[in-house]
Amino acid sequence: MGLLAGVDVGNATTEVALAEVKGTEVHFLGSALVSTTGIKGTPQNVRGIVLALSRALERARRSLDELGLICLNEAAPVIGDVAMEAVTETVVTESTMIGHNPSTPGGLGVGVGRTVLLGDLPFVPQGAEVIAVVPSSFDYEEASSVINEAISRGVEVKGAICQGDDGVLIANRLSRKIPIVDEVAMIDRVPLGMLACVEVAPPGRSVEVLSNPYGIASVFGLSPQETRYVVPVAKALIGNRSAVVVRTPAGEVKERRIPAGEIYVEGASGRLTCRVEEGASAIMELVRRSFPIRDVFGQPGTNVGGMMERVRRTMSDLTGLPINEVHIKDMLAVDVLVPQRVVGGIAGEMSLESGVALAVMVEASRIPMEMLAKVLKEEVPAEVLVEGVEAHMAVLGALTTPGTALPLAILDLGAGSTDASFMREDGSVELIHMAGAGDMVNMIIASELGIEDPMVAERIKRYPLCKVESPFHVRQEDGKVTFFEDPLEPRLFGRLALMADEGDLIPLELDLPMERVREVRRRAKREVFVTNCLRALERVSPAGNVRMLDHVVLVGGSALDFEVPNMITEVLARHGVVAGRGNIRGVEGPRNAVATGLVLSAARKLAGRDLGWS
Amino acid sequence: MLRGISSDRPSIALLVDPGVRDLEGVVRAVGAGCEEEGVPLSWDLRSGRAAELAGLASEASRLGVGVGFDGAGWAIALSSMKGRPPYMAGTVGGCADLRWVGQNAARLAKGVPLVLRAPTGSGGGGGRAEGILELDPSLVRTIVAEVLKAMGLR
Repeated sequence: MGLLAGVDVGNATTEVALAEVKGTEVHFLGSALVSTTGIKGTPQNVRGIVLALSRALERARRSLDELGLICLNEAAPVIGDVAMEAVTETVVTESTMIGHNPSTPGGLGVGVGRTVLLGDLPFVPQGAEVIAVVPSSFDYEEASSVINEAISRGVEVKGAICQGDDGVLIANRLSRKIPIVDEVAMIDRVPLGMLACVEVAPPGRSVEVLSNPYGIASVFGLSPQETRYVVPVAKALIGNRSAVVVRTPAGEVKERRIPAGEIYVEGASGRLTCRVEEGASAIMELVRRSFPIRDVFGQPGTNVGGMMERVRRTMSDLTGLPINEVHIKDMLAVDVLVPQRVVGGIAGEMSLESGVALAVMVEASRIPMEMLAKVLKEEVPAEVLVEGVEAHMAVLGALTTPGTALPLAILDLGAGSTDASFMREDGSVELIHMAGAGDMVNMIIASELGIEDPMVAERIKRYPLCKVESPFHVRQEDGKVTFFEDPLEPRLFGRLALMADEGDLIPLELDLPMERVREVRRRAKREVFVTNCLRALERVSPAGNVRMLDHVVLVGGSALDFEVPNMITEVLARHGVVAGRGNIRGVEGPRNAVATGLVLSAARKLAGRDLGWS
Repeated sequence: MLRGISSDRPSIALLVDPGVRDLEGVVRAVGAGCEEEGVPLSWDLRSGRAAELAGLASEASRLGVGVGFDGAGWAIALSSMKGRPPYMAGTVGGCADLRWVGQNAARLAKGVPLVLRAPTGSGGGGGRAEGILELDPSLVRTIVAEVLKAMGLR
């Protein structure tokens, strides 16, 4: 008899379990895991499947000819998609604000005066109160001598704005202590002849006058109405060590609320509506009240409308179903902070705007795995069968974890969706898919930390942090210290880094405290996985009560995460439930559950000869 | 032992080979880099190559950070790495590069991330900056070690 392979094509990975079957005995030979090629359920998957099969065979020192039967999973017909919508935006017209954090501003204090180009300073009359604007064409010696000369003539130089990184150098050479903001890249956009205020806070503090609306009002003598307008400016400057606000006659700064659109949920309570701006808790309340959801729509012509249509179209292309028969069955919303470039800022100012991250899940009647099986059959000299519902197979596989027994609930933490299934002692199964998993965590991390490269967000999710404190040691996020015999590279020095596998350090280009990055990462994982685990388990547990469950086994790629399983174990322990990461066949960890289940199920049927194959 | 470098005052130490042209400009540039970061610099003259000067300077510095310059090349050494090659080294194109060297020496003393390129547009070209990184001896050592390991020679 030939070899038997179970193949599980998932959203992110394709897994294979390889076994030899003799009578009723199943002897597992090995497994393999590769990235899924193409969207799950499409013929493009074949390349990944063949690669995974040949890897598993190679490891077992067997050849492709020995393969007798390949069992494909009846893939869960769900596709997830994620999107992020900013709901507020700060717009500065007529550049009125510079708020940024150069590492080394010069001087100290608050200075108010009219902006004057350094070259024009010799022509300013005695007694005038000015703020010097210093382009990088002047070196620090020149700049300081021009300012000193003006001061000695009786000009009241109250502060300076520099283009180069010269703030400290100039401040050290002045006869009078004034605040200097430096590294203002687009200095030519600073309006001249206008009243401006420069503030530099002492080390370890942040600006106090310019981050306070009444402070700005006092400096510029604003009316109550005008003071309302400067609130977004003050808000954007909070936390900076140095800042400049220039008052221009036509200047206007406003916080704009972007119409992110409305969401319509059709479900148990009819059609409910909510604006995206209302935030995650309002949206999730809608989802909870509407369960079971029949469909979700976004307002046409808005961002959220576009997102819902995109998911629907992908699913329709994949299944061949008409677009109006593709339904969104679940949605997860999480509030996020989005650092966004201030429109009209001149030193690359960022403002923390609020936004909502959304994950949606589309369910079709089934994913066309038969078509995939047909294409696969042409590639390999073996029988190919589509066998077994994914959730069923996952429980069978999970049951090979030492210490488990029926009734058993499993949580499959994937990339696209979080799935829960519950198998009773009689073998009957409850199953639910929830929108939002690893991909959503990546998106939240990327948006909250302002990261553009998705690979970096994935790594931040996957590895613990450390700070390189010297060429020979790093401090881990738990406060422990690791020493290195060989000096760490200069590109790592002083930086935050990720402790990747095999002791590799990956430097991060983030100017943030380690605590902040850690908090964002952990919050993203909690908001997605812990929320979804509870949501999912409530749906499958007897009488909707999570406390009725005894054992919950975590499987899937995200169950490999270094902290997600602990977060879930902790929360479920409060409900009196034993939960932990699975260990498929006692060797695979949380991976390979479905592939293993497929092999076991097929072997069982083979013994009863009801597969028509020998 | 080194006249200009006080052993009490916490400062970065710079040793320059007496043969360099525009000695004052060199000290001014390295000094400006340190000053902007708020770290004092003390300096002296000594004959030798950049790496060797940087090593000596690091031992004289109370902050444990030494800079050496011999006219063509610069090096930054740390006293904690005594007996090893300098932590960073390269060749110099102009004053802007030396200011960048001073800035990084100061950042090493402060324990904050280094600026990994010479400032562009103010004398130091971007191309040259890359040259500095290419010559980073620790990187070269790492690559050689990796190649030897891959060839099974080590």
